Amino acid sequence: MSLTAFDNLRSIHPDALSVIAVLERLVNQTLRRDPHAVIDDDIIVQQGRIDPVLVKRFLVELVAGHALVRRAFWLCPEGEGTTSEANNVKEFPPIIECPRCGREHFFKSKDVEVKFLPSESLLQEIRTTPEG
Amino acid sequence: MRLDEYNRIAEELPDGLPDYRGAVLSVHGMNTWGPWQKHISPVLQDYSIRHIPVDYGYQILRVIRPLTNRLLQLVVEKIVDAFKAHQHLGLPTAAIGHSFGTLSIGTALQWTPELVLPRIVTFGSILPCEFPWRRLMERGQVSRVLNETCQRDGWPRRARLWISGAGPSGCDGFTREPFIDQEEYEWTDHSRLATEMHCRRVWIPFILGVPRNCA
Repeated sequence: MSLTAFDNLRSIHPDALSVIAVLERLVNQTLRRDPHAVIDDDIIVQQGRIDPVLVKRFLVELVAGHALVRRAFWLCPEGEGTTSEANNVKEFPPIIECPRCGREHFFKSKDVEVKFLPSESLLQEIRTTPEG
Repeated sequence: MRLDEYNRIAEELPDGLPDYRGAVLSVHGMNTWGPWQKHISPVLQDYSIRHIPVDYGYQILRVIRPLTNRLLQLVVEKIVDAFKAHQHLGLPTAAIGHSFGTLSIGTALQWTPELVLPRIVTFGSILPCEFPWRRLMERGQVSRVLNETCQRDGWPRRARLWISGAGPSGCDGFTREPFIDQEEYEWTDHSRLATEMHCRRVWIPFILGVPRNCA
């Protein structure tokens, strides 16, 4: 069974059906295993061996369609992992003491990664849709 | 994906949801195309501040009275368009104006009550010293102004001779108000404040409403 948000993608991008199918399968599998999982475009691309440009585009479109919710991760510029995370970059302070490396970091947009969480409506649909 | 990449894609979508800390429109002066606006763009992008540089071309004669008002109409329209483009994304818009750009921003606020620019930076300002900021604040259009002045800057004093509605606030400051920060610089003349470093150290903290050592 297909998910509504991905049906919408298919209607907008009839030329990218194979990529959308792989993306749908991976998102569906991931969220069935763990409804709190974070969807990362890099991991989707590696797992599905699909076009990274299209994957990014479709994930952002799924946010616009309210199937996914974006989550901003402020990464430690020393490469120590995530310093802080928020729903919106406005929630980040301009300067932060990094819990990873102990140094102070100034906000820079280049240090922020956007990843995705499922919306409640997408999770609900996954729960009620039979697998396969 | 990187935040910049996400925002670029989201802005291409009719109902995309880009994620910014704030937004700025900037307006250059006469006798220039405003290269400083292009210089500060990457700095603003570093802080995830969306920037629209308002460009009305290289103008000399059209600035001078009796043509001033006709040019102002054109620039005001562009300012309002830039404001609406930010507003469409739900972003409160700050403004940075230089020289004729300050007169344009001030005029835009007076002519367009729905234009709301909570934080405004002016440098080399040619607005009159008694510009009615208080009235604009009471109308909810402005909440804080940073006016950067230099006594050595001769242009604001000369501007009132040729340009309708101009005054020397870029030298002498505005009438004192608690919501107007006036900062005097000794050697910056008319245009030398518009550097990347000044933008990073002074304008961005002012726009974001954070202390200067926090950005």
